[in-house]
Amino acid sequence: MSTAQVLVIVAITNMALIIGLAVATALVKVRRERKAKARTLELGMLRPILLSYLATWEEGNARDLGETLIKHRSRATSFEEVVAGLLPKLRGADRSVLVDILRRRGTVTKACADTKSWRTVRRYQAVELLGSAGVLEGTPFVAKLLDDSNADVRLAAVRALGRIGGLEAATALLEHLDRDDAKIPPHPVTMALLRIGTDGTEPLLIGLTADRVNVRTIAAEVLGVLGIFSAAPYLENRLSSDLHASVRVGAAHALGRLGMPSSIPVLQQSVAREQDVEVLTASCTALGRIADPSTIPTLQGALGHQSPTVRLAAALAMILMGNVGMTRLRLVAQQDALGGDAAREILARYTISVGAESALKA
Amino acid sequence: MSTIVVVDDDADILGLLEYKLTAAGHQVTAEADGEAGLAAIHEVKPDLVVLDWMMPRMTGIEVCLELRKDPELADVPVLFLTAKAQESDVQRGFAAGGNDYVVKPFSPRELSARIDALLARTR
Repeated sequence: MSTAQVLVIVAITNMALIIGLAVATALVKVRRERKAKARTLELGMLRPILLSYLATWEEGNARDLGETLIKHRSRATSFEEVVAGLLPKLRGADRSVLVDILRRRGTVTKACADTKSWRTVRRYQAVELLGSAGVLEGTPFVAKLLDDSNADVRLAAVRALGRIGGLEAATALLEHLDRDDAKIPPHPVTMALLRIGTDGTEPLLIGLTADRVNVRTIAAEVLGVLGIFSAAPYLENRLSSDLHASVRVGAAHALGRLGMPSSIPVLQQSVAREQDVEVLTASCTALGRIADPSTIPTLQGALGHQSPTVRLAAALAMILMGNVGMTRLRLVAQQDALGGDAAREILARYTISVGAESALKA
Repeated sequence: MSTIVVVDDDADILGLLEYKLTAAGHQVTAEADGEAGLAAIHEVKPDLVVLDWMMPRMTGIEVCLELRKDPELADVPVLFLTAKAQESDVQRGFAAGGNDYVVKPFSPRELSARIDALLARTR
């Protein structure tokens, strides 16, 4: 075979390859466009039926619409998309109606099964759907994904547990975080626990004595933000006995938020004995929040502390006591008493007008 | 039967309210942005307006303030339906002339009851 013949064959082969590729690309494009068109058409059909059903489900004659939605088999999963888009916008009975449709269509069962899929996208979509629907039966499946190999799925699982809520979800989050091989960051867990709210009280109280410092700290902070008054004795115990300063800081902040006068002795003890500046600052702030004028002498003592942060916290706490605290602060500043220098410095730095005082209180 | 203008840039919510309020026997005009909403209010002269806060072109607050300037529409009850849930937001909504304030995510049943109550009060 001559060189010319070889070159012709190579050229023909290349040409055939290029044409083949072009045809394949065009076919893929056409298929995608068809799929998108079918999806848009399906959405256009389903959306009005779903919205109309939601608007009229209380009337008996809407039952047919409901059955249509339950029996409809979608080709491009657009039905679940429409529902998932609506769920976060609604609450109350109408939301329950949507969740009921998902259950009866078998979507919830399928999502639970999909949490075990080898495909990351499928696991992610499943956990997102279970979270949006807020179905309690999804909790054990979602909780297992806290150990997922993919970080996005793990984070989605944390968010989903927060949205599903309940005792089991809070327990799963705190127990996972208390493990040495915990794969989830603390901040999203805190947000999820805050969303779960008072349903998580029991696991949060147990979390106060967990092995890991960040679990104890998160538990203390969340209990404070949620305003769980029954947690006060446990938080007082953490403030007076926990070996780790960040837990004591969390406990002091929480006690301040709870604002219970029964916590005053522990907080005063903390101000008198504590070595850690951050804990001391948090305890002064907490006393300011409780705003009991009987603690002014304790705060006055903290005005003489070597750390400017502590002095500032003590002064601000005294200001929060209202006129009594402010008068005492001015008096301390005028005299050469303990902390006089600090009071003068702080009053000079922070000229407090009546407006600013109320802003601070707010 | 009352005439209601609903203004919200969220197509799902707009659609749902349109269906729900129509099913309840009201005549509904739905618009997806503040400017179009204000134009519809001027044209329809409704018995009640449901307004989202954050919308393109004109916010719900701006629409409400414009409404209150017009002597013909100053008394039309306005219900804010918004995701802005802070205390200061609610305060701002009422200060702008709102008569009621519902935070998203919302219960369409509750919203419907509030609308009925507002309409009954102004009849």
